Amino acid sequence: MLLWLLSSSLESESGFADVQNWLAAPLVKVVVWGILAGLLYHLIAGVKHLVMDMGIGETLDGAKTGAKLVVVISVIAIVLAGVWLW
Amino acid sequence: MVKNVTSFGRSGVSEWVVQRVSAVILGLYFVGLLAYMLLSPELSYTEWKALFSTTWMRVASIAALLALCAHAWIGMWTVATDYLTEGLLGPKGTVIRFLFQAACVLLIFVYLVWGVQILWGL
Repeated sequence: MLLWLLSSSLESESGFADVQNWLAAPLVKVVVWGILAGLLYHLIAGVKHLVMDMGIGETLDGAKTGAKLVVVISVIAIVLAGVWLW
Repeated sequence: MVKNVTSFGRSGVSEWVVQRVSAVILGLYFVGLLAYMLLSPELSYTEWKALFSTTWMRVASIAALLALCAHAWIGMWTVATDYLTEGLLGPKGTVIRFLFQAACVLLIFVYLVWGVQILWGL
């Protein structure tokens, strides 16, 4: 779906306007928000993985803190993404 | 235990490295694109098209697309060999895993061709 939006938006002036109209529709916004939410959570959890690969927070307590941080940061990012879309 | 026939083979260290390198490429690309969109709320078609027409953006987009394909393949292989096994699904486990991975490869291939068309068809 993101590829489709990218494709249309680059195709032509009217395609770009179409995408702007689609993104104004509530249902499309919810779907795009859902995709962004998954992407953001994956991104933030992935960064945590890379940080742990570097040997930071590799204890049980560290891992628990890291997991909580990932959830908190993700929720903030996802809410912000929602604010951005609406 | 799952044997190695459906992976890239060898020890797995190469997959480990590819997964992390592709992750960094994807992370930088999407954070960069997101920042661009956040910084230009009144984006016009001309600006948007100009951005994707620059050589550096084409190179970055192709790098991100290839990274996405590799990342998705390794990620799905990891999930499939962990959870779609004979141990968890019974005797049909291997068949189910094979079909799942074939579907993943097909989808990844479609995304690759489609993505290249979008980027180079400009």
